[in-house]
Amino acid sequence: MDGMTQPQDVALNDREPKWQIARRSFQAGSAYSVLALFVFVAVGPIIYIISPAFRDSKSLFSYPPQWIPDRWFTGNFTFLFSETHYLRWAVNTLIFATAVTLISLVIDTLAGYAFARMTFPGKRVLFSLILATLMIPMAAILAPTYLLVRFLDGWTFGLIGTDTYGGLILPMTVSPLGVFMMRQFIETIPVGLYEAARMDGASEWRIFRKIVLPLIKPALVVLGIFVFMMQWSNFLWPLVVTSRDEFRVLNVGVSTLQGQFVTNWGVIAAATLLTLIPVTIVFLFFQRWFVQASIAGALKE
Amino acid sequence: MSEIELRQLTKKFGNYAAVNNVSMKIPEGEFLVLLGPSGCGKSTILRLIAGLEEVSSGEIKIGDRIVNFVDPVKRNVAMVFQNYALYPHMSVFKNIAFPLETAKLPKSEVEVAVRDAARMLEIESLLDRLPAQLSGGQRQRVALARAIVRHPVAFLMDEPLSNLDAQLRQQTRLELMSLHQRLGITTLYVTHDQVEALTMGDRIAVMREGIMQQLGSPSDLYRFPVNTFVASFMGSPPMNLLNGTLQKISNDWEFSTEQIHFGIDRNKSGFVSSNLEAHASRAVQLGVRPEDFFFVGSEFDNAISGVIKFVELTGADQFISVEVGSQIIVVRTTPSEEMSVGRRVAIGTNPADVHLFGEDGMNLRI
Repeated sequence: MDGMTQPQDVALNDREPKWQIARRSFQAGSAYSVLALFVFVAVGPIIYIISPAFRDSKSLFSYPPQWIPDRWFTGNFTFLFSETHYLRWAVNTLIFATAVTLISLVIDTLAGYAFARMTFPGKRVLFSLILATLMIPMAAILAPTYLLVRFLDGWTFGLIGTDTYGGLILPMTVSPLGVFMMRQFIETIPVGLYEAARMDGASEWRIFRKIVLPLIKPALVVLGIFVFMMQWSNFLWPLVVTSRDEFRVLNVGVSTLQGQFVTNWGVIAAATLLTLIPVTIVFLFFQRWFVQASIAGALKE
Repeated sequence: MSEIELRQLTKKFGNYAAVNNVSMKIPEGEFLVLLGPSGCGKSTILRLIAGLEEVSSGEIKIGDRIVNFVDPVKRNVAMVFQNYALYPHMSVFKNIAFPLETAKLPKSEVEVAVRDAARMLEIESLLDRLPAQLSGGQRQRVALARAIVRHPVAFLMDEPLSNLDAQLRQQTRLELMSLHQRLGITTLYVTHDQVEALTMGDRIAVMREGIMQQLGSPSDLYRFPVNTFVASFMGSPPMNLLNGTLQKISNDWEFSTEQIHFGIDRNKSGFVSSNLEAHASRAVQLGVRPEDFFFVGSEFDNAISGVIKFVELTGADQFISVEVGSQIIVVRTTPSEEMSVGRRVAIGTNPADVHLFGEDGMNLRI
């Protein structure tokens, strides 16, 4: 092997014509500039809010625009914590996103397992119906869902209703996409494993718990991150179902900072910046799993 | 009490009978091979006995109990799957322990049982590994260990060797046989490989399209195949089957084609005359195994003359394909006989080694 490659390497360094080197560096250069453009589009807005978050409202609109503030102003942040319910909103968002994630994981894996492995009458029709709901936009079911939640208010002793955690969380926990994804993933588990487990005397629940759940761990993580990030940035439903400030989530809360006549952009930038931090951490923490899951299909025996 | 009995067992998928009216009795301790091409229903029989499929009609008896509607685990049979079906996320120890833990055995007992099973299959050093870290042969052993750990009354093996390479397959075959000798557990073994069937089975059941063709000892099946299907399925290369007609000439019988006039001497060949009579002047097939043919001089009784078409050397044997008219006869010889393509030769056989099959494929000897 060595004897074969080495002379070639030498030949490359020695005799490669200049135009070829130039062509290659041009290719690399153009590739990087395209990539840089994408990075700028993706990261630009985030960088853009860093600067105003650390400036007071007077220097915000100074001319010529000042990118790097000469004085790092922290008043926007202290304002957030002292004059608004920012912390309460953050806690609400955490509760909301976490609860939706956990509950939907339970529902999606159980439903996915049933659709992938069990036989029951009406299975195909039911699954088609679930998939069909994918076509309905959230905005279309917003009003009916709201009315349903308001109706339930009187029947669930205040557990589910407008301005309750139940009303905020539960309608978001049913996602056809999650059921579909888990079903697809569970179907990739070889039938032989179920049969072996059945021969070994395992009950349906034990098969689910001891065989299926461990094997779909990567999918659980992906779906979990996905749902968490979706709900962390969910705006429409929390806006509709909550009206009292102590039930607001971050996105809705921050939007209330935008006044009719005066808007303190510095405060909004600071709030947005803070809101980004937890999701970023969650993603970085689970990123390893994310990558693993996306290559899992390729390596499966 | 681990005798297994199938009574008129039938399994239908829609209108298609995957297993059609199969009856057999497998005495305790027997190693029975279910042999047939893919789709013949042999695996379905196994899955019916295991309880993974529901019986359409008929009965399955294990010991003195009819188990048609008994849960798989309560039938107390263990299955070894073709792809081993090891739980990929569990260590070897956990894999073997799984059936015992499912049965809620105390931890100490599980430990002892797993180590016993592992020792028997010589995989003690692998107990901490994951299935992905094992070779094919080792996975096979783990699957076997998981099967024996709960002391089943019968083993059901679904082509357990087909995922191994040729060399390992032979070795594992011997190990499976010695395991069977030691444990003496009734075993049903499914394969499409006639060599496996012949070498391993106490008895072989040949299946075709859901119907059992023949059940008997390997030598019975090889020497007295009940029909052309069994004749051509057993043996490699298979039995030569020549198309022709059965002619009665004065008081004697002859198998004839345009080129071949092969006299059937009733005394020497042992055919029953009523059987021959029933096929007089009708199409029949003459069946002779390659090793029962030999090269003769043209003066030999019933010599068939033809031209050598191919010569295949396989080491210990040499297979010579002789073209007779439009048909090919394969003859097995030792490599010492020098044969060259294009040579005209005469081949002959002993009358007792000749089979005749009627239009329906049935052997006229049986």
